Amino acid sequence: MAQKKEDINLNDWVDQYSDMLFNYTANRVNDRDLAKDLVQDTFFSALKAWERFEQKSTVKTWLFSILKRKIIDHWRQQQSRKTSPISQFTSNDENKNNWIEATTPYSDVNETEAKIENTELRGALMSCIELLPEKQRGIFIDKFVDNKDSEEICNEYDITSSNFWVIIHRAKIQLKGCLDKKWFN
Amino acid sequence: MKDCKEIAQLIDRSDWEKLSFKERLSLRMHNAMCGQCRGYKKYSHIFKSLFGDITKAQECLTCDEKEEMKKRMSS
Repeated sequence: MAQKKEDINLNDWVDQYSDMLFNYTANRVNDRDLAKDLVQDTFFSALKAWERFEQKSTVKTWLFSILKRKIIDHWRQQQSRKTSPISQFTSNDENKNNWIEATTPYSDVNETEAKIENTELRGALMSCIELLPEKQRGIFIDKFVDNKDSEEICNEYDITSSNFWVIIHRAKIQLKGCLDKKWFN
Repeated sequence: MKDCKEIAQLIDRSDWEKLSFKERLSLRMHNAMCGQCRGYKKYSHIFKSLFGDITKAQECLTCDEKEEMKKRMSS
């Protein structure tokens, strides 16, 4: 039996879903207040659209789909305001990227793991991710932050496996350039 | 013999999935001769470990923040 709009208690949604929605958002927008606002907007939009919810999926899945659209909208707005594209941090010729072992930022993974505790590095990393083009960013976050299955991501974005790995590779190269500039230098 | 582009894709994939014996062999052979790809492999592993830690750091709302959200939504 479908639940009526009048019976929905937003407070229950906050208790049940706000933490997972917030965690998902905070990993994507790198701004706590903005993440809170997006989660709140998601609840409002869901309530507004409740009559259209066919209840074929769970409320959680539905809320996540609304939230994802809101995050993408936010990225789009941000992209249009952006003054420093990521290309600023990368070489014009990708072949010029230097992968000589000696130039890799750290020689020891443990050392790196210690560094990540530094929230500034996390901030730099997230702000570099924000500079990636929308589609690339979505795919990259799905893989690296959410640990989603590659096949699932390919289906979601309607891309081939080969395309997927090319996108991941390009994102990594761009992030390296950005991190070199913002963090390591 | 695979070129650096193909090897880079194998390196990216190897962070997430098990490569076939043939793929692992070509990766090893290529890396034995190519410093750039060895460097990329190292960078790639480090990079993934950075994200491993980020995903472990779960962001949660505090009780106060939840209450504030409830208040704002009921008003």
